[in-house]
Amino acid sequence: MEWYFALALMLGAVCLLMAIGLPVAFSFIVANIVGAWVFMGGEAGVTAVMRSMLSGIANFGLAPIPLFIFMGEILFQTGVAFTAVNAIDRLIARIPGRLSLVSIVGGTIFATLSGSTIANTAMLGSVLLPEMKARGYHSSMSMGPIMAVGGIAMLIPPSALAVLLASLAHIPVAELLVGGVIPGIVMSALFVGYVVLRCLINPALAPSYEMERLPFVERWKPFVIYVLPLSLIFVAVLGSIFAGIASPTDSAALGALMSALIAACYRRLSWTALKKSLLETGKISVMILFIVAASTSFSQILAFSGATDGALSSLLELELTPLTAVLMMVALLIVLGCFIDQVSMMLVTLPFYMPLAAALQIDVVWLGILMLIAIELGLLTPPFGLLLFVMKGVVTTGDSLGSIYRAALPFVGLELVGLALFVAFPALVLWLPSLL
Amino acid sequence: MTDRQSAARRIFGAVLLWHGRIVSMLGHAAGWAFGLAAALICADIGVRYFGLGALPWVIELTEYLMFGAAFLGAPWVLKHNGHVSLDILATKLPPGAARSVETLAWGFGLAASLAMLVYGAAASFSAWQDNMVTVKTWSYEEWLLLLPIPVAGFLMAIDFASRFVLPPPAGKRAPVAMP
Repeated sequence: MEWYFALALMLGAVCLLMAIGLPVAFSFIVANIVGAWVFMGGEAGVTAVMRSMLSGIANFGLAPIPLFIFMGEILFQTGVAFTAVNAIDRLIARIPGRLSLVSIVGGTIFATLSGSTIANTAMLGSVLLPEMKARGYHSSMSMGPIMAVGGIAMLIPPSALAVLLASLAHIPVAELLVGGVIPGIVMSALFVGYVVLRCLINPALAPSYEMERLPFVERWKPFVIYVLPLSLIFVAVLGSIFAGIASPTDSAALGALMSALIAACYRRLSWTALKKSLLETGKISVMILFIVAASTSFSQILAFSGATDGALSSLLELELTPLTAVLMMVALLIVLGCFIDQVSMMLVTLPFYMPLAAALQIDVVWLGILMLIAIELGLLTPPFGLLLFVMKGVVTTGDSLGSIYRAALPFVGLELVGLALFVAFPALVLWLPSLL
Repeated sequence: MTDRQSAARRIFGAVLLWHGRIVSMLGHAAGWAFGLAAALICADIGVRYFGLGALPWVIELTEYLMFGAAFLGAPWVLKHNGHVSLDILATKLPPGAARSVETLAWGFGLAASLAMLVYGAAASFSAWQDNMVTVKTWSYEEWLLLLPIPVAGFLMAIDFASRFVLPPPAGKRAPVAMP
């Protein structure tokens, strides 16, 4: 069979099955079974697919995924994260778009503690959105920053999806995790700059209001008590990697332990909260790992059928420069992000992206971070951006999905600016990993 | 309703009741398995840090815990509609056509689950027949390691099959929690 027929069969089957609403994992299982039957010798091939499911996820390198999710869940379910955001709220005063800035700063700090975009958005939305609405904030200054900064959790370590990408693409996990720090901070700074500028030009977007004047001690005390200790979690995760005393999996376990200890120190770690954290961790981790298991054979069958080599040869015949190839890859991810979820985007594209990157000698850490940003954009792009729906679930004022889309759009633009910046200046991404 | 129909309904109800209990138990166990993995890895780090040696078996136990949790927890996630899926067509089609497409998806889901049951059992059986053993720090019978695949396939096949008999209410799915 010609490689393009094999490619059309495998990718076509997955896309069609996903389009009719079959869960992603099952779509991959069906496509793999069909592919194994056609290209790998019938029943023997299908049995081999089953065996490869075991090797696909019985992989210690994937362990940070549930551990990072557990870290965020502990802070979320015990309410420690909510207290921290309230503490940050007291610090920021008399600045245009104050509450929007609280959401960006609080969201960035929470992103250093949790790898969950959805928890980040839901938490900020439930804590800050009612007050923003009551103060007459325009949706682009209330929902927009919350959704945008929610997505940053995917970039700033600990990030479960960064671990997944590293594991699937065979990128060094520690380097990819560390490589997300500066881009995450730059994105956050872009959001802050945009909010301040827009509110200076048009103060009606975020009407200013009189705040109770608190003494210095009262303003800073909650920050010292409820926010500073949380930095221990970030230190446990990134510090242990930087110091070379822990692998990414070890650091994730230390982070989980530190989160539980901190919650216990605040006397918030109840049995109920622990149970709920574990159940939520289980639900999300099982969903991700089951997709990984189901899709393990996908790239193998593509390679076995000759589709990967065929597609790669055709791409190389175009004599793409590394930059053009990277731009094409990122553009394709942004388009895919409008329609499919983050894990599927990785699974569908990686079998082609990584061989192409190797052939064109593209730095895989740089590519990985650009991919994460492009994938993160998919969380905000209509019509199926996940965080748009999370926001819809959080708002109580009946905002239409259309107004939520419009609120997210300026921040999609800012993320594209950030993406262009990291394409133009790879050192912004690669400097920190080079210190490892 | 004839006696035979009512007996069939009772049996079906009992099967679903037990299915729900087993699936829920396995789902909870999956959550705790991840907690156990975290605790074991921390214990290993502690033992290494204090120069008390190492717990080399932690790595492979964590690997198998993740595999077991992913497969045995998958039916629980399916029961709660937690597996990520897209609703591109379902939201654009008129209700009748959307229901037909959804039913078609259940059919494929049932087929995938049955394939996991049949071919997972075949892989497990052939590993048992050939006395295949995975040797790392400990040695494991490979058929035992593969067993979660057909078990998950069986439980998920019941779930998909039940949707044909007792279809869940039509409507837009809530977005699935992606980290």
